[in-house]
Amino acid sequence: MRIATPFDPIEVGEVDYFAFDFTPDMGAATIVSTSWTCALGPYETAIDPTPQSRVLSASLQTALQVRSPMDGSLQTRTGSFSVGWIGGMPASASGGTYILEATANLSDGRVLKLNATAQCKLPGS
Amino acid sequence: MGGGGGRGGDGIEWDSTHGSGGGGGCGSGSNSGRAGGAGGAYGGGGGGGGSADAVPGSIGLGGPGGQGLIVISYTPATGATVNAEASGALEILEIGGRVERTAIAFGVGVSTDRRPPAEALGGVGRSSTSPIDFTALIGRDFWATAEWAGAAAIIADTPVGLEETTSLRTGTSIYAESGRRLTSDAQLGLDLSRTLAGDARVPNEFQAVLRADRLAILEWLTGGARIASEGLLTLEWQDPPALLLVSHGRLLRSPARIRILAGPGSRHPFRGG
Repeated sequence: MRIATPFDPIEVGEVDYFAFDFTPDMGAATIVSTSWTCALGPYETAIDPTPQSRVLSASLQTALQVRSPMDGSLQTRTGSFSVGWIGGMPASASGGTYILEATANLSDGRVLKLNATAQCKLPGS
Repeated sequence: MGGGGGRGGDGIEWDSTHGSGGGGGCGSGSNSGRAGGAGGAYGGGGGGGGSADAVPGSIGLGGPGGQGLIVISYTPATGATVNAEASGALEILEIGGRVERTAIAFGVGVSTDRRPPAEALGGVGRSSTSPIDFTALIGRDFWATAEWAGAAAIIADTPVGLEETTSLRTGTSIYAESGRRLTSDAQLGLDLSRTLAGDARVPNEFQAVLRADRLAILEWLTGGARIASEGLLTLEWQDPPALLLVSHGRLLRSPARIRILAGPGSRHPFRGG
């Protein structure tokens, strides 16, 4: 399922956590495993020969800390999160748009997917 | 004074320690009695013979007594104090000579790799230093077993009370925990700083992560009295992992999937519905 809101852009060489919050879909189930995929969007002119390698790792979390954009304070959010450790985009991919997708395997057998786009930018741009 | 009566019969020795007395001498008319018979072994002597005429001095002498009870007065030897180098204040006073075993065991590990018995029969090193070096046992996988024969009065200053480990002083070489398998594997690192008071001989450091689920058994056997405490040491914890910090713009929330759709409702005007 595509989330219309894109991730904040990621710069070339940057590595950061990206997360999907599956909590609204969980019900009584829990995430038992998760995986991420990374691909360039269609019709992209940016070049990344190995976009999947931008997924450095994936993990499931039940709590995260998020810095509030309002006052900068750290807020702990609990729920069912799929977190991808993403980064290492090459310079050739700058300007392109990646599609990051997380797959969550739930304890009740469901397999949920969420994806969103993230633009790759050159540092300072 | 006429002829004396007959001599009393000898006593009978019933067993090695009991016997009957000899018979009394027989009196004879106005004659003085005869001496009583000799007593059996451990029996009393026989009574003197009676005299019918009450003539002073006419009563026969009592027979000689048999072997009496053997009375052995035993004077305890000088008290021997066994001072294990360990200041556990274990004092062992040997006050008897019976062959009894009194075992003192400090230890936790039921499974012992080996038991170095320190045995002494009849006297654990009187006035000598006990060769039992409890301190040397710390950190090994074996029990410290002190065995000796002989009635031993064990006076312990209760240095090893389970609840009193905190009261141990430096120098108590038993270290209360000595048997506790402070273990060479160092998996069980209890905070002995309170108990050992800085004795550098045993490097006990509190370790944040203890592999637990270890059954700790402290036993103290003292002449049959057994004080045992079994408890599962579950001193295991670890700091919870730090939460991942995710940028606000890189956390997207599912809009919640809608997988139940209801029809808008059928309107069939011609059906009258």
